[in-house]
Amino acid sequence: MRKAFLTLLVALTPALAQFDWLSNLDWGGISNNLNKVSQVLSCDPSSLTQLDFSQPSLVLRGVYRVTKCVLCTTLKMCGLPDDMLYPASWGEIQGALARGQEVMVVGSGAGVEALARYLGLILHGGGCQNISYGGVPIYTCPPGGVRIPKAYIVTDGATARYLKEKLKRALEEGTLKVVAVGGERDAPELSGVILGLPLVWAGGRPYLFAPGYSTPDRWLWLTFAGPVSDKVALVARLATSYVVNASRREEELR
Amino acid sequence: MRWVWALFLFSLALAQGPTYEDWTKYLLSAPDYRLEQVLKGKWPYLEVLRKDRLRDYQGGATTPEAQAHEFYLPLSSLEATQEVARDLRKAWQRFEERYYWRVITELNNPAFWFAYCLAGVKGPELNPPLPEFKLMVPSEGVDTAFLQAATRSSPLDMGAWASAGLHKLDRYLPVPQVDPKEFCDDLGMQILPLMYIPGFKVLVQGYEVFRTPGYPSRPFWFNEAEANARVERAMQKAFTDYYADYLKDVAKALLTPRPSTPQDLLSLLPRDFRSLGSPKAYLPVPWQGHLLGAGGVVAPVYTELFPTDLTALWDQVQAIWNTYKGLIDRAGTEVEKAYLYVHFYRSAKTLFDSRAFLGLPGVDTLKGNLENLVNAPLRALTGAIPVLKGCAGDLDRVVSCAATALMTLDQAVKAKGEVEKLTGGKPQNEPLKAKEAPGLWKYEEAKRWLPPSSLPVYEAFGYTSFFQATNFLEVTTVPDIRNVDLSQVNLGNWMGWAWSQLSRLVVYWHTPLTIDIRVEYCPPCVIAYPSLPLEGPAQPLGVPPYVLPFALERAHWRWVSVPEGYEVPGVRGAPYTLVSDLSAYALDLRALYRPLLGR
Repeated sequence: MRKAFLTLLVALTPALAQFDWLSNLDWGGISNNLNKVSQVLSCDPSSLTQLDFSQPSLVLRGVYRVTKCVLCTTLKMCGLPDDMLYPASWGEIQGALARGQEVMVVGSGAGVEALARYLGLILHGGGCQNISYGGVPIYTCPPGGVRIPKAYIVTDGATARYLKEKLKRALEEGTLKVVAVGGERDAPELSGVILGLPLVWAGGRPYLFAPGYSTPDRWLWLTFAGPVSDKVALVARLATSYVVNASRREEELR
Repeated sequence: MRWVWALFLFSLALAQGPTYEDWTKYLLSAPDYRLEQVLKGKWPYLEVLRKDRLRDYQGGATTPEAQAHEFYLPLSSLEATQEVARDLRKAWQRFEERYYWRVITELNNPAFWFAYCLAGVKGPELNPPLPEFKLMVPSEGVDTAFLQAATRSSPLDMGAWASAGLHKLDRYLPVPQVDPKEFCDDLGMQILPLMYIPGFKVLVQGYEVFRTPGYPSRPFWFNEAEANARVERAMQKAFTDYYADYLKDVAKALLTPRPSTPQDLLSLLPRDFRSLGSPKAYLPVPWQGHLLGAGGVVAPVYTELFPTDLTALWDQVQAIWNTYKGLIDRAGTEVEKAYLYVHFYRSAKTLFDSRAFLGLPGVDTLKGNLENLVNAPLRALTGAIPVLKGCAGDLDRVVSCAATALMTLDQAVKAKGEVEKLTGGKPQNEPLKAKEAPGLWKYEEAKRWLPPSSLPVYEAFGYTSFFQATNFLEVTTVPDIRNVDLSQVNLGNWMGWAWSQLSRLVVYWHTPLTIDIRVEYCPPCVIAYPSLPLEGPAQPLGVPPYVLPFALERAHWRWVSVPEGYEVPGVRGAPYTLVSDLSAYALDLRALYRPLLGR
């Protein structure tokens, strides 16, 4: 009997050794479960019930914050960054345009040109109109109308000259300003100074865009949020005031 | 010489060739380099025209604007402009240090406050070296037709802004290189709110029994909200106060003449040729001022007033020859390459024949050198190109004959005559002279590649070098991430950048603890005492934004050469005018320079 037991023990040793890690697993103690629940609750999951569904970026921001917190507290996956790029809808951009703050567009290229034309159209006449082409609306007006005291387009010399030709009416009304960053003539070494990254600064938030179609309402819009972005936004806000000064100087020059 | 640009009246409309458009507004014109004037106590200067106003004036306009179409710019010494560039660098370095140390001190208050604001720990003073001279050929200045022709075979080195990559510290040290008072203003000791609860580990009899998660690199708890608020407050302070100081420093460095009184300036001028040397003076001319959206601050420069060292002069002339030949070889037709000898010989001859060199020993040797350089190759060409066939005799005669022959050829091209016969089958489609462009435009455009020099060289070759400074809007990090040279795999370059970036990270330093519990024979008792861990007494914890951002205007400078009668690049408005934001620095420079220039 003893011999048989010993033989069994020796034979089962490798198998029993597995209990070593099995025993390390938590088999569902009540206190531990409560602990997990409290950890999840510390991440304020109830905020998910109060998401603002008007804008996708706000939804994503709320979901991301909770997910990141839950992953970190329960699974110890804490590597997710605090700053995130979120897609923004065209409605959000329009909302930002309707907030009554100054708008700044920085960059060069076809996207900036299209956006400038859009601003030129909606700013013309001090009001906003839905613009259609053959019955197909191409530009839409934000519900509350556009309220932009002044819009600035910061771009390189060549694009600035082109836009000044195109947007004569809005420029004459003084609601739109094209600020050329560069010398008297088209200077390619200067246009590199403005990053290739096209950026719209509206309603106190930065928006990036990736122009794909002809009109801005179809583009991919991105916004970023987080502690780093907030501080970059702080600097960008200051840059706006310098651009405003620069545009005033350009007027002074004439 | 004085109204060289008037030559464009003779030229005809062209289909091809350069396009000097209407917005070519500012022309360098008629420099007055007369050394006799200098000896009479007048500062050398040059003249600049505003083309649109000049046209109005010639058209009979009598408005004050049309009257003010001519401007006089005093020359500065190259060395003095380098010193200005150094001051611009120093202003940036001061801002960069104040920005970082304000953020890091405020964030790590009170530890850093004690170290810097109270004890005044400080590294060596900022002392940037004299920035080296770099010539830039601005693409907004060179005509596109020339550029296309010159870069047809291979890309051409156009230089860059002399300031490119210089907006950084010379050494990144773990201590501030400015007086701590500069970044400690209105910063008090701040102990509350509590910033963190230190991470710790517990040892019993030397055996570790517990450690907090992330020990030692993470504290047990960190007040992230307060850290963010502190960084944001410090950044706000840096950008409102310190950045304003930076702009002030730049404006002062750029707009203050050195020396600043006419008496001091005039006392720099010598009384005889022998001691002309190169008086060190910086006489800036604001062209609306350097701010974003305005224009620039310019100062035409000389290396020396008069070249006393004739060997050095010959080296310079040879350098000019090499530059010239290199460019015309790229951009010129066969006939133009031949004419290069004529053109160069004439300019260099004018230089050596000028009255300043009269009777100087050694000038004849230079003339001999010049003949040796030009004679044989030019004569070889006169045999090969039919239109030059008749040119014979001594070198001077050959040269003037060749010049006349070339004008004949030019007229033939314009009249669409039998060009092939004149050139011996070599193609010459475009005229040598262009509308609105004085001189032969290709030779003139090539002068943008010539280095700064002395007054007689400028006069003979017909160009002047300028120092220019202006502000750009830049989006970057501090230290500038774009300073890493990505074009090459160079360990030193990467290491240098990594060090600068590492030493300028935004971090909170926290101290982890070790709690040691031991049974000692004292008589037997249990002692628990905290101590600093072996892992390091202080641990960095990154705080957003981790790396400092920068997105504002910054002062850049460059040196450019401008051919006589051609466009001065990178300026707008009119000289001696300032935008209103700079009026606080507005010395009336025109009034200051009037007694110097005598006009």
